Amino acid sequence: MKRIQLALLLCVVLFATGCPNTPKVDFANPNSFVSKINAYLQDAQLKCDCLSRQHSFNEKEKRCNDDAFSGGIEEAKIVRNNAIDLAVPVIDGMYSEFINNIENRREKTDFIADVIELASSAAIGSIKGPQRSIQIIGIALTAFRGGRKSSDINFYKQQTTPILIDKMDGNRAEVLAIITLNQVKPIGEYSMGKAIKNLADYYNAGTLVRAFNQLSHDTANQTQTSETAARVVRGEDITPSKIRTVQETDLSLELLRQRRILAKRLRDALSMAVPTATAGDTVARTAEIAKAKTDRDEKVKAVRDDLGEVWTAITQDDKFKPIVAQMKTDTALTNSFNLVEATATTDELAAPELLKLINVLTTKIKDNPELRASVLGTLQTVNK
Amino acid sequence: MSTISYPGSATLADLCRNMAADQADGNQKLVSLEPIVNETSGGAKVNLNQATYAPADILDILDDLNCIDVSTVAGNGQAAEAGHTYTFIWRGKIFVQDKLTEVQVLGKSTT
Repeated sequence: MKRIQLALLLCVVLFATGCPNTPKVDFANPNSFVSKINAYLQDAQLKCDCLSRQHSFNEKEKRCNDDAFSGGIEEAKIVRNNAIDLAVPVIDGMYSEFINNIENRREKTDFIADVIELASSAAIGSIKGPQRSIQIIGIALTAFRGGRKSSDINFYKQQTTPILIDKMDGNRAEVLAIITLNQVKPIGEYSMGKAIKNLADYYNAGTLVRAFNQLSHDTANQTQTSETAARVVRGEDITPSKIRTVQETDLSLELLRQRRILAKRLRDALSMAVPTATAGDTVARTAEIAKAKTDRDEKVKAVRDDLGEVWTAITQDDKFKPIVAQMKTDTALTNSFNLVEATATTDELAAPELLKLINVLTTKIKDNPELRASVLGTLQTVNK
Repeated sequence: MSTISYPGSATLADLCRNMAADQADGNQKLVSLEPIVNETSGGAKVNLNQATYAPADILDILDDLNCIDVSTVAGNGQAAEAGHTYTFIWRGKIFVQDKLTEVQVLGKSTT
């Protein structure tokens, strides 16, 4: 019954009131900004396809070059993210205009009152509360059955449009969150095709049709307790993380604990105060400052030596070589490797970078118990 | 920020232990949790808990996580008690053995 009422409501809103149901997009005009964005997305998809297959892209002929482009995968991710960053504000702009139109129209016409009049047995209402508990269908509108008052109509006129807009805002925020989270993924996991699909979802989320559908879905879900507080994700198969054994998780925590011992020693050493020398210092004061500096330097050196011992043990072990080699290709770590490998680097500069490299390596060996045990053994020896 | 999805069928203790381990392995700290129903392309509905982590200095990670079922009066009392020694991280509903359950997550640093 609720669905029939919803269908009636939807038809009336869309056809009887003449209210726009989607943000306006002029795809027919090839010179419009939107059409240009669309063409840009099409090009970006082709380009991503070429780059992700490690070929460069021929901009003129819109095809892949027959070459080998080693940085293609990373470049494809940049192209994809740029395309998303360009398209999202355009969709946002169209949505803002659409909302303004709805608001203006609500002032001029009986946008919702007409619906209530026609669907006299239908019920439209609202419940204050969190987004998901707001419902538009299924609330007994008893005021309309026993003879309605004009104040009631005004109340529902004022309430219903904001609910729809809130719903659209909520739908859009959900999709945008998905897009944003996916932007960090490599192109292999989040392709340009998926990005375009999500952009289309983002546009559709800001339509009245989707708002009504979602409200209907939310209402139906309220009969199923298990779904009321859970977001439903469709069209994407999420692989859950494996639940690890107590031994595995204990190993992770022990690895962290051992790294933290070194990190804490380094932080304490680096935070040791060394007074600033001034021209008027006495001999005793100068000696005091020199001693403070020596103490600090010795402590920093000691930590650097220990971190260096751990890192050397790792880099000299053949089992770690592929991982270290992979880390060296990460541009975010180039500076760390340079500083650690340069003999002239001071202890103060090298020690934090060594710690950083050890920390990054730990994330890389998360699923390898043998390597984790090896690193833990070295850390425990150093920290003894 | 990164996310890890855990099976909604897991016990609260298993989930908590794994989140603590993922904090440690990823040099990150837990920010929030969200229950998700994943309608897979095969048509199945899979309950998941999606944890969001933020990159963190390893000294700032609250490595000892304490997850408490606060759907009962006793659980609420336990959470209030734990609040004296642990730092509040997140509270809300997640799947515990596939049932949506109000949970509070607290943490403290052991170093």
